[in-house]
Amino acid sequence: MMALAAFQARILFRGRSTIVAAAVFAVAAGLATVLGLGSFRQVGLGAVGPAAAAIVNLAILLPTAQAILLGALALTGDRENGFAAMLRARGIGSGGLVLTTWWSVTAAAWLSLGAGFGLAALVIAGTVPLEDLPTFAALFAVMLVVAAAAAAIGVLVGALAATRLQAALGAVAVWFTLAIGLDLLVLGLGAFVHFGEAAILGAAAVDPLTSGRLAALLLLDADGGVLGPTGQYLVSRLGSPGAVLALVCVVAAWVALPIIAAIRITDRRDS
Amino acid sequence: MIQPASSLVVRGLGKRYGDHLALEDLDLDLPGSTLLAVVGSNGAGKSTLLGSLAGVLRHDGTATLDGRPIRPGDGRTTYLPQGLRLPAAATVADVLGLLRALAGGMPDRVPLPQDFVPEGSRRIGELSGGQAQRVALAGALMGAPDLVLLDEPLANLDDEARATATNLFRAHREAGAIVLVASPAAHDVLAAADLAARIDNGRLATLGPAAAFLASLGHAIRSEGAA
Repeated sequence: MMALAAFQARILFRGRSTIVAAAVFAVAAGLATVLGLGSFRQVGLGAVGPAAAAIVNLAILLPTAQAILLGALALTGDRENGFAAMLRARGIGSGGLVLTTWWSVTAAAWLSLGAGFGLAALVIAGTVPLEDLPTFAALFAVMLVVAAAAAAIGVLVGALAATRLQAALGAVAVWFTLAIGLDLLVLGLGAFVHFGEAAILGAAAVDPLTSGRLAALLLLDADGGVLGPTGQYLVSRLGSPGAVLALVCVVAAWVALPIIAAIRITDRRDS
Repeated sequence: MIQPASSLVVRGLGKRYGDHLALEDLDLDLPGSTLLAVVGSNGAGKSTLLGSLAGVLRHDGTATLDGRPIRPGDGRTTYLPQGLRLPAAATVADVLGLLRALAGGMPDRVPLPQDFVPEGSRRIGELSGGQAQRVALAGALMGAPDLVLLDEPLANLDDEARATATNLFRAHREAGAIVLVASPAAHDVLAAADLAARIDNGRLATLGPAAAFLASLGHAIRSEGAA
């Protein structure tokens, strides 16, 4: 399985889409940071400002889109091309196929995050106090977990899809729903008002991207309106560190559950 | 090195895709050191047979090799799917290295002729269809498999490569393996095969000497020409 994981990662890293995605995220994160330098406190650490929010949102949107799409296409592509069948005949089980695909896609998304956060770190290196470094590292770590969850969701979409076209359309639909659609739905329906606590907790649990975004904002000491009703509720009930921990646990569950589901689905279908 | 010959026993093999019965109650007994040409028209069930034996298709019935169920990953079975497209971004060396590792790193029972596969540094996406098929075939024949399942392995190959590939099938057969080669136009394979199995609508229509089957094909072609 290690040989397959290394193989999958190598071909993804050689792929143009991985390099382009990493470059796009790096440029976007770098630009957001440079623009934020106009106001030192807006750079992103120690306080929430437009630049911090921009970097968090970029990290929530771009690498996750990359991970969901790549995850869905990689698994379906291998099945459509007959490569999965060849590997299975050589003893790679459903678990091996799903886990190696997830791992390589996660690594590709992490490359993007590394490029983006790395460039941002270079830009702010001379101006941000050293004590902000742990916050920056924690923010980066949360984004890594969110990207891993997105890759797992993408792999699940790939396991469910019959063709690459279905996989691509499904991935885009899922990403849109998680990144934007659920927020719009909740706002549009006024669900928090109608359903109270259950809706607030549900909103945090069903969307790893929102959970990741809230955890990141909490790490940046955000409060009040920036957090929204879900974040405010969690902080009031659990305190800020407890809320971050709960949200990270939600995102981690979104890594494990889609992978388990994808393995079961792959196990029950023909290669 | 000559290995002790294996035997393949298939009983009641069946496969259904929704309402379509792709393979129905198929029995097959093959001794070791056999090269079987699996022939039949498009959609007859040849690929389903090979996929089921390879363990990549869920199926009814049983298939055993030397009395034990065929188990993917034990290094005894290898499978080349029909129309396999290897990952375009991988190099030849990547693909062969992976398949070597999955074959347990075992030395090849039948060494490949020199220059059969392109240079290791070349990407699959840069290769012609025939060159990519050579890589796929080389990967499928790695190690020391006792059951070799090849679905249209000669597709896209030029005459020279077809001859080399056919010789490789023979060499695996002579080394003790059971080699099943499916093809809709199987003249090349039939000429080298011991037996031919004709699949028709998911059923085993005939099983007999390949030479006799080849002769009947020639007769049919001559008859059509005369008409």
